[in-house]
Amino acid sequence: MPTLTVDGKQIEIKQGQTIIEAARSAGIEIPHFCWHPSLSISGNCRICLVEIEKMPKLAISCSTYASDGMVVHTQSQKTIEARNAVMEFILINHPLDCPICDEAGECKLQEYVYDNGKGESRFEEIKNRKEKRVQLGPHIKFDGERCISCSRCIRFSEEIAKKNQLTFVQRGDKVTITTFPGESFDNPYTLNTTDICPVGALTNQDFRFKSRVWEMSKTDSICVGCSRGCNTEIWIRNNEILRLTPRHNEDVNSYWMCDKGRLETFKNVNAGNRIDGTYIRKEGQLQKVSWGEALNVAAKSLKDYKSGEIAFIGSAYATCEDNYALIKFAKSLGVTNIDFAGHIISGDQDEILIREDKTPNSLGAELVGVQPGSSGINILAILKGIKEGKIKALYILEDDAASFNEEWESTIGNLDLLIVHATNENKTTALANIVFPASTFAEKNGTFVNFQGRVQRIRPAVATEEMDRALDGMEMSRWDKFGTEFDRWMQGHKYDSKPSWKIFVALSQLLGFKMKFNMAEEIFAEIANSISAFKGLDYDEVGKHGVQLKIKQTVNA
Amino acid sequence: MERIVLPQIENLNQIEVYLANGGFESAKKAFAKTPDEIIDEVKKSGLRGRGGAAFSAGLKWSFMPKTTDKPKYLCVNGDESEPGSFKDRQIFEDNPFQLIEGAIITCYAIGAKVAYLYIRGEYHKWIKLMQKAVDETYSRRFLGDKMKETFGIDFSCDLFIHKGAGAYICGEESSLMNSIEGLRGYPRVKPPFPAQRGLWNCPTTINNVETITNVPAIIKNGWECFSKIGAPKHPGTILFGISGHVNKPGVYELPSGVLLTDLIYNVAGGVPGNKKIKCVIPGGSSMPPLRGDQLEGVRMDAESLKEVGSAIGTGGVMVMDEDTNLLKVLIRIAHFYHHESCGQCTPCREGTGWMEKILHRIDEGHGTSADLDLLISVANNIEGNTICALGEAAAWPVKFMITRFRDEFEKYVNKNISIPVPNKVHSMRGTAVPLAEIQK
Amino acid sequence: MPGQKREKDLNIFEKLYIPEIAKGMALTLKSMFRPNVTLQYPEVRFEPPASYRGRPVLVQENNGIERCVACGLCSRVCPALAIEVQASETDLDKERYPVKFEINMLRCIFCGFCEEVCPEEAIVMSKDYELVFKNRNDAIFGKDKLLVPVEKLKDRLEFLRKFK
Repeated sequence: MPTLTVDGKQIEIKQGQTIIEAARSAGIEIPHFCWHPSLSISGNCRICLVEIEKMPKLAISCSTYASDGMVVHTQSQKTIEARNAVMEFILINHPLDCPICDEAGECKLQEYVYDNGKGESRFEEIKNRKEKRVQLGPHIKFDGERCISCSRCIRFSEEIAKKNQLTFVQRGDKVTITTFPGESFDNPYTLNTTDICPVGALTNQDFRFKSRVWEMSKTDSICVGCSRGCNTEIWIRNNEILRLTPRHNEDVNSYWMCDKGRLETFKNVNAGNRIDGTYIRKEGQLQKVSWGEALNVAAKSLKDYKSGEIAFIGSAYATCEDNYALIKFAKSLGVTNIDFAGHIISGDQDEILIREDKTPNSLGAELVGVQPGSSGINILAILKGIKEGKIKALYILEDDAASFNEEWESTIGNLDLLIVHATNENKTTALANIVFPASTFAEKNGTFVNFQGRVQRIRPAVATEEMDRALDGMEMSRWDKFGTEFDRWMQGHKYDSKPSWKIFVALSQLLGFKMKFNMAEEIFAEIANSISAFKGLDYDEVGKHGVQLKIKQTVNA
Repeated sequence: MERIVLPQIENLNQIEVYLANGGFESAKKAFAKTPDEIIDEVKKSGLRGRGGAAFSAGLKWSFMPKTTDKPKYLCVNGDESEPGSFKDRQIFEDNPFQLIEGAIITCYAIGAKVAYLYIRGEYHKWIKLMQKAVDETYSRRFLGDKMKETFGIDFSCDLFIHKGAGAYICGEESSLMNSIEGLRGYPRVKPPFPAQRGLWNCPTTINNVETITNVPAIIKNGWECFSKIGAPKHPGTILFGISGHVNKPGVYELPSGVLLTDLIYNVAGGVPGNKKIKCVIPGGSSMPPLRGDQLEGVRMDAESLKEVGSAIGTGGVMVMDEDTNLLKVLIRIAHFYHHESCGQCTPCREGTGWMEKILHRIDEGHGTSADLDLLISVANNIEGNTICALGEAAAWPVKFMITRFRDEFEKYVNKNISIPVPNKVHSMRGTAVPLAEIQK
Repeated sequence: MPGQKREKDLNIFEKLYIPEIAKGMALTLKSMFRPNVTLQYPEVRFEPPASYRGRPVLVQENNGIERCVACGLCSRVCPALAIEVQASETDLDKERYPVKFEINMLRCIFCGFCEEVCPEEAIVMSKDYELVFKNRNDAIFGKDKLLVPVEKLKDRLEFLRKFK
């Protein structure tokens, strides 16, 4: 094996690896701004200059290929002097407005200045002024003065988003970034540039000035915007989601996620129409009642119907665990009319990330068995059954059946009994007899199976009424750790909701069939035992980056 | 002596005259040989690039891959954007056909089917002249498909003139290629070198106009003849463009290794008013300047100038007499490189502007001796840390001008002066605290 | 303790206490002619020096705008977690301003770290030491109570320029 020596450490190298990549694989971080593992090499920031023995000049480690026997020094005096020189050049025209800049706290420039900066400036001239607060596109604001012209955003839009929308204009220290004439920076992936921007030049309009990064906690999660299942991080302050960012997973989404997933999938969690507590229809009006009352009424009502008169609709929005609990509950009642609805917007798909199946778990729902039993009927037959009066009670899990189409809306209004688990108010909850508040993806443990057949975990990031950040082992910010109930920054609203599987467990107790699940993990263990595709898996195994299930790829349920 | 590049023949820029004087005979002679023989001959002649780096032309050609399924290209660099350099213009005007012939021979030697002649945008008139010359060459069937019949060989090449848009940086070979491709004039990171991945990622050779114009002469007279002219390690004639404080400024073709003092006093007619020389920049504005008292015995070839701490560059000699204010000269040069920095890589983008700002401050009387050291330090920080050679081009004049004329620059600065510091409290600019208040 | 002998018994002269009383009276008499240091609070109020660390306040410029850009450093550095800042965007040059700035005076320990860390000289320790509240909510000071015109803080700002 060819080897490279970096700072006295022997590193095995692969064919075509650059020095920076080889060093990174061995845990040696060479400072870099313009280099990004998923983008082409531009070599313009010059901060990654290193000393290579037998080379007359310093070389940039991002574009110099590692070769056998090469000896590289990343901490030699020559290297450090060059790095300091480049750092000084970058800083002379940088506005140093960290107090205002949103990137502070996750800014590469700031980090390297802490590591390598001299702490004082030799620059005593007037700084260059450039345009600030430029609206590049619908979601992005650009600050020309902060920009260090690393060209990452330009290369991203060209190479990853496949849209030539950004370019450098002007020359020398007047160089700035703009969109091409008549263009707006509006491709579906623009906000990734705010993640890869090494400084605060590109900022997310939606998150701008909302919070300091060190005030938030972050929880690993999965985007629920489509069946890609991009790995994400949920950023929380005061029990409120402030932003989502993509998390690196080379097998699913690399470093990226789409703008829609980033901006729209979490808004319902803090929305005003969240269902907060259980509701029962009394005298034509939905009225808030206690959990006990709602559960009792639901259990009693279900007993009034024969198993053939009841149908269950699972959900591709719900986790595998929730769907599994639904099946188990339905079977305990002898119901075999079980199915779920797909949500496919045909054509709304690209070669990059976006999938036309707009649910996170249609494959998972299918795999755990949300489908008609041997004598059961499918979703279209259920609709027909309701119309013909054969199906009198319908139980819907986390889906808005009334919004499928007008036929559904008018039909389910005529049911004798409609029980719904929902996170937010919608057309279906407006028709329901009993509404149970379901926890959102950000408030529970569970698993989704993406279109590739990869099972991935979601974790609770927002606490509901029944949860406690510390006791439930959730991620905690400094505020969460030290806050008390008297601090206003700890008084973020906690919704009175439960994961759907917990509601099924509670109902099963009342109906005499006792499901003995205390944690989502236990349901997953049972799934792993009983369903071959999940065989041998547990939450630890699924871990941070998910596990590919051994199934034939069945796409788009 | 015989002139090779600009022979003293009337109306040589007319194709009849050129043909009557042995035009395109060298090409015929070349086609009788194999490409490798030509490369070998040019190598042996010792022809070195005239664009600044003085790299062996034959060696450069030999880097072109022999077996490749990609097309190969020749770029002839006529961007000539170095201040103080105006020799290529003379070739465009007086001897365009020899340049075209040279390009044809070079294409044959390296196996290129297409040659691009890149001429700077400001040379509007000469672009027209060159285009006329190229059109005539085509109509005489020395270029294009029909040259197969003319020369009776199975080889043809095309020559296109590409007009630059007025950027100094596009004289750098890799940004020249970007410019031809229609991209921003940004230099490329090397390696890969143009011979591996040049124009449209194909093998490419880039030579200066003057270098290419020398090629027919080498083929015609043989490499021995050429290698005997001038300095042995840098043979041939060089076009010297003399400007500044001399009586007869202009372009002179002389054998390499000519004495600099000869060039100034005998060829260019000396300094007006018999004034002393304070400073000479021997090879275009980016090369290190020489002191007036250093000139004795300096010969104008790459090796000799290297010994005295300068470089031949493009052979653009700038002479400054004793009354010259070197600070103003340096400000003008620094301004040029600040203005022309492409802005791609950090040291040059930020450093060139910084140096100019410091120099302006010194000019305004707010400089201290420490600022001169700061300038040298900034120049050192740029040098060697950039993608292309513009870093050096910008750093050298500042660095060497100040080190070599420190005594003069000390006159422009004050010993004790406290300068206003506007950047101490950067973040306060958004608030209503006036600058004067902060400085108290 | 009866029965045990003291280390030193007082003699008769000492037992009379008269000389000691006289000494005490003399001291009292002397003090009567010294300048008075006790202030008749609240009729007379203590005017602290510039170095005094009273309650932290926000500097308000003459145009009515606070200097604060809501960077959150004071909040981060506060050892008692007394400060909560919520930033928002403004059309002013400074781009960012605190839409909410709250100091919980029950948590504040008057350490002055917030003032020290502030990059804008926007939060300073005032001379205000009169802090009374009847419930927890009153102890949380918002922008309405925190903003103080820059004129009233001149002493402290000058002190900071000199010594910070």
